[in-house]
Amino acid sequence: MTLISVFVTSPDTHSERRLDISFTISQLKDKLVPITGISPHYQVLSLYASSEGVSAGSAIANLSEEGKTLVEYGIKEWQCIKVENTDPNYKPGEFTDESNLERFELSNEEYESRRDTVLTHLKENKLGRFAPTPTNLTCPPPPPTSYDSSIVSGARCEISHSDNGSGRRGTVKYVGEASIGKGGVWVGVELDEPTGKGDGEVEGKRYFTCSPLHATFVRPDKVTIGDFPEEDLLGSDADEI
Amino acid sequence: MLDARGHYTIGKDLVDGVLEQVRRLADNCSGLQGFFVFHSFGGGTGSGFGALLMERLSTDYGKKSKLEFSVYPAPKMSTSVVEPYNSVLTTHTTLEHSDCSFMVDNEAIYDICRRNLNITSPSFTNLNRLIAQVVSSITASLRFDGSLNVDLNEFQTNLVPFPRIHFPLATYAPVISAEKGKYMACCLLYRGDVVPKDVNAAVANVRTKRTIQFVDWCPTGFKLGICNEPPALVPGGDLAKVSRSLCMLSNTTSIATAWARLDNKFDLLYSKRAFVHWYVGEGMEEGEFSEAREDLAALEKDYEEVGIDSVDAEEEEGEY
Repeated sequence: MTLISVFVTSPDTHSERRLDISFTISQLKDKLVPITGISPHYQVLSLYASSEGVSAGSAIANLSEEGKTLVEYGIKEWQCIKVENTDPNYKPGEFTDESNLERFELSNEEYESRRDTVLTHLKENKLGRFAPTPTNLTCPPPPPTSYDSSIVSGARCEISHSDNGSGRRGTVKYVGEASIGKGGVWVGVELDEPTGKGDGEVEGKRYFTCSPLHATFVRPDKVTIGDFPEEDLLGSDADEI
Repeated sequence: MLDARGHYTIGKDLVDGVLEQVRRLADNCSGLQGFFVFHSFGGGTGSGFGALLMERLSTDYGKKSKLEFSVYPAPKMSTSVVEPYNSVLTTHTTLEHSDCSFMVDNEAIYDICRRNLNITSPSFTNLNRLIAQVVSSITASLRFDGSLNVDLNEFQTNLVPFPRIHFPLATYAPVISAEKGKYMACCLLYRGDVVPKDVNAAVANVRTKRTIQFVDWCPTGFKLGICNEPPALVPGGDLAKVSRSLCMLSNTTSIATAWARLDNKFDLLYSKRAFVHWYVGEGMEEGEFSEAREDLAALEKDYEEVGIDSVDAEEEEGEY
């Protein structure tokens, strides 16, 4: 028995295999059934110089004679056997296309009723979110209670680091404790451009009034006070015309 | 090729002979620590028989630790059409018998061979050599002396916070980069001319940057091991001789995506009951499919549970 390493490629699979070169094509086809999922009589085999050659080049040989052995076809190491599927009922992609996948889901009740799960372990040992006092390893910092004295109402400022791009400019309209989010100190800014969230009212309370989408509230550490004149975004273009 | 064939029909005949061989080796050990089992998930290379062997080792050797090195299916291309079945079935059967299962992603290793090691068409030989380096790092503490020699059992205790969550990822430097996710544990296995001072400094650096987020309910941190013996060179191998190396074993929630992907593929096949008759023909009951799939669904939920914060941390406060 002489074994060689070759690649086997089929519509749904690709693998490196060791094959006995004294196998007949018919024996090989039987062996390829559980690999490719294709019945022997629907398999069409051809031999290529390499895996890369399958997509590019033409076949070295069509392995069509059932009684002929691999050695008689002159198979060599690292060549590639391509398996085609002629089954009329075969739908390409039926085992790989996940677009219409009906996924099996375990309901929360079913999961909760199982023994030996992480959930029961944490519950029984009062760990993680079931701990009486959650451990503070990953506690978030408390909301800020103080702010730089340069942040005063009416000051020009720039807001750094945000989702809407960086360096948005505006005028401070509010600074101090506010019942927004987790509480603590917030700075309300009227922005030069309509890149904010509202008009000065947050969670039912009005802190100042401006045009819609010109107001934003951020933490003091995001605000830089300084000489930030309104940017004339269109002006620079106009000059060049 | 079929999990069922290795597990039932053919496997049942072979397993006694294999266990006899194992018994002979075990009897020659002065202090048997445990077993290392290497197999794939996909089938044809130990998914069915591997699971059977694990079950029998549990019966014969009780609580002796059993570690696995398992090759899990490539995300893009299956090696066989029934790979998803085999993977789900073997994971289910082995889950309660394995103490720690190091997951090896063949496709990732193929990529490393191509991209980092310039091997145009990598074969299993190239892959195996690379995997061997990782295995070697893990067992180095058993084989050589070191300035901070940590026993394999100690790593395992640190790595597995809960029996089912026992699938650490292995990453190897100077080749492989680290993964994302939430960490339950992280072990760093150094080899070669590395001094504890430098290692501690490196760890302290990572800690202050807080790029690695740990769950809050297991007493973790980094566990370090230093083995003085540098990695050996395989003649004709793909890696260059280095004076030091690092193998990182990390138990993170990022592995959950691998289960989700596997389960999706399983569902695609099973919704049509495709190829199920092959398994039934080998003596399996159809009920085992749904039982295994439910167990894997629970495993996915286990990882979800691990990912839940007891306190909402790290969440960037938005604007209002």
